[in-house]
Amino acid sequence: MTVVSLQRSDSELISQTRSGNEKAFRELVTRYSPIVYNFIYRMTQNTELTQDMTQEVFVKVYKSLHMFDGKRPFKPWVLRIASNATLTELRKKSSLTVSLDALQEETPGKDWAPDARPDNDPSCRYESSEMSERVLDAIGQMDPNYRQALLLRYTEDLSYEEIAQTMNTPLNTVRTWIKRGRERLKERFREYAP
Amino acid sequence: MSKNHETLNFCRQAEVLLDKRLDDISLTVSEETFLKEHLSRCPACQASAREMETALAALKSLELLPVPEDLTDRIMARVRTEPLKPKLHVPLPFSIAAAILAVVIAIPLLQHAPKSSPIAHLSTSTATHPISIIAPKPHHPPKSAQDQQSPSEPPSAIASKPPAIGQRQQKAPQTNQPAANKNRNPADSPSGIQRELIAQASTDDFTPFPTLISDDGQDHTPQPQHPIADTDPIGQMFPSDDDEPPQDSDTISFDTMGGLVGF
Repeated sequence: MTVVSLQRSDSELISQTRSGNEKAFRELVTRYSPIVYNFIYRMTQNTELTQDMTQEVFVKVYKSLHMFDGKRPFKPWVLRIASNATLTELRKKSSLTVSLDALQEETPGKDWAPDARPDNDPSCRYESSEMSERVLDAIGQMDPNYRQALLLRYTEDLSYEEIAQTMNTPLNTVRTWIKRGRERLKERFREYAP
Repeated sequence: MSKNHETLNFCRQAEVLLDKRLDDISLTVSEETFLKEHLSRCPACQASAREMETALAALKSLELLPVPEDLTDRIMARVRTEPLKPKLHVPLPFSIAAAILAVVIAIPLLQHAPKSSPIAHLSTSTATHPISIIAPKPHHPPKSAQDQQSPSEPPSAIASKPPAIGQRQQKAPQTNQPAANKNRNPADSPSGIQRELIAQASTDDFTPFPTLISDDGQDHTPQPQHPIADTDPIGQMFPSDDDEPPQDSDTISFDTMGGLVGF
């Protein structure tokens, strides 16, 4: 006996969700929550906040699903909602020019700050990779716009046009942000170099 | 030109080309050749290119943090409390365009309304007869304390009393309005133009009714003896209960406007 497992497309799941099929939306959540969760974590570097915000993002996705243009890819649309939510949160909690490190120093234990990365916490896989930790540290000190543009480009593999749409920003601005973000990242890596 | 200056220019050109390549902009054959040759000869640019590659490779290989197991359940629990909105059939740009079109059509219509239209008088005569100065005294006392709408009552309270409008219809005095008008002190009563202005302002702002004159020529315009809320146009709209016009069969009922109160 052959078991054929056909994965339903995003558009099918969206259509079924719009018709009230809860399981279809659950499948969408299962499919996209790792992307949204990791994107938000890389932006905020705070686990608790990431969990709360991921929930909020998917509630927004669900409520706004009737506005989604089914002809377009779903991932940039979801990331746009996550992007808006994240930038709003970051702006709310700190000035855009204040680095997250500075925020952590100023408000220990209050509001939110990037997670301290305890060396002995086995639940956090980031400790296992020194390189990942370096990257997170480097992007955590960037302007949130640079950080977001870099993440969308190099971890989510969005095109420049998709990033411009996702961040609701002109294409040339996105190019500038990514270029500057790359330079910052390179400088930070140079600092780490022996 | 010194050799150093020339080298610096080459380095800058190489940097621009490296950025182009990173931005997925394809280089021409000559650009590729230049870049390859320069990188082979310039250790500084070579190191810079290598650092950038390392940094971006690290960024691309960021490990995925596992999603908490119960997160999907928590999301679904939240979603169950949210109503799913129906699909929007009219694209938003069309809706906006329709709204703009409606405004564009409405403005010239209002500006070029015929003089006989109640709207036409507003633009010219309100300057000499401002509505705000018309605050005549009630010509007869309210029937009860409940019926009396205090002028000091907040405008919101006035606007949020649609049931009172229904009550007005039930307890409206079945008297002939023109007869009642005869007993008024002419000094207390507004002039014809003032009454017309009030009716026009009311109809213009709140109702689709062009006039309140019945077929037999009687003026059933609401009389302005009621207290007028100075600050709230909605307050001006609704007369107090004691000044209810008679509910003749050919009179336009104010109850029709009641639905707008809570809108």
